[in-house]
Amino acid sequence: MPVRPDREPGMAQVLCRVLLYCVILAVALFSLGVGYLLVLGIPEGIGEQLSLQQIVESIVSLRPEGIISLGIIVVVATPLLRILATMMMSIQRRDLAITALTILSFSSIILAFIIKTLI
Amino acid sequence: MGRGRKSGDDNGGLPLLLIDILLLVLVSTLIGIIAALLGIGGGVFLIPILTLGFGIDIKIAAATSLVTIIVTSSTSASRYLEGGLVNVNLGVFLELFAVLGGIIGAVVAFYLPEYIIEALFAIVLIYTALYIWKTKDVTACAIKPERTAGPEGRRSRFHGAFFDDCQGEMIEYDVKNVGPGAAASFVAGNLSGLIGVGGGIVNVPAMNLMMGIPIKAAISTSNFIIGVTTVASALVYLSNGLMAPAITAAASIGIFLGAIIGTRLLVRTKSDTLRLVFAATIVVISLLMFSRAGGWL
Repeated sequence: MPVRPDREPGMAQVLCRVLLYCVILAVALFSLGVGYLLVLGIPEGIGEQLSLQQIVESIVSLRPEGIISLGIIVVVATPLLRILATMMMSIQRRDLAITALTILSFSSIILAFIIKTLI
Repeated sequence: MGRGRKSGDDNGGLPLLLIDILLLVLVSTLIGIIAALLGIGGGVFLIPILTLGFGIDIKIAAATSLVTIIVTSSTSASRYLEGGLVNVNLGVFLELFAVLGGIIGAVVAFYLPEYIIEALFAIVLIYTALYIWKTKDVTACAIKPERTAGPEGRRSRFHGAFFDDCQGEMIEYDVKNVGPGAAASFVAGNLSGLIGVGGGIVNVPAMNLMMGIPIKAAISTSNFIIGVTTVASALVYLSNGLMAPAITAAASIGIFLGAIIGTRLLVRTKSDTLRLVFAATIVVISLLMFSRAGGWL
């Protein structure tokens, strides 16, 4: 009978952990922020969208919406960390093609964000 | 609910009450359950609920949807990575095109009038309904994965293999039509940026039918790509000040819980009937979105 092959801790396992831990952290932050809101009461304008500057200010002030915003940052950082982890591992393996692709994807995302923020 | 369309100068968010947050968590949990049962991201249900039900601007609804999609796709992708189903090399290649499409889509969406995005979303809903109706139930062990390469054959850079639990054997496959696949990935990313869906409804059929990847590996690799595609769009929405944190948090918690419950329910549900019911529901939602785009709702 065929047997499932043993897997040594490779790229897939590292990426799996990066994704899972980040999601758990983000959902924990969301739950903490919403719980905090429910306990303290809902301030006016809590459902409205925030500018990038307001998001940063709310995180620094550690208000409930700041904790939630931190959760959003963790969510957004999750795929970026996944790309970085792939990049680091492909550099270690001297896989030039995958390294180049990850650098291109990562820099496209970051450049788009920077350009859109500045304009 | 049902606070009506926000005007152009209006904030477009929602003056949230305690009951709204709880309701949003509850509704999102239901969406998460349905999405897990159907094997989709949930954006096709979440965006209409936020716009039609809660009266939120479609761009804010799209931004919210993108964050919830990152949460669900990352969770699924981690499970698929652990199971060895993801073709990492192919995923890294395709996601570059999806990222470029996503960035362009999100930038264009910022300048498009709300009614055009709503109409586009309604069209995508019709396509999604057909997709759900026609898609095979990939959880069923009756489906034997298509083997397209043997261990002795010449292997391309994107050659893949996974252990199929149902069949109890290694399934090897090779990838064809890489160029058209990259173009499909760009379109998927573009849709993601424009209307806030994950793009799996384009990626999965393209990988399976066009590139010859077995359906289980196609779904897994699509989930692996979706997180990166949506983050490109989400960052553009974030930098445009279209993120409403409280709405996003409530929806994300609900969808996350729903996905966990839905995955457990999956084994006990007759999926063919379920698919038909939800495909019909999506058609109704699509008609409502068309009405909203036309200003009749």
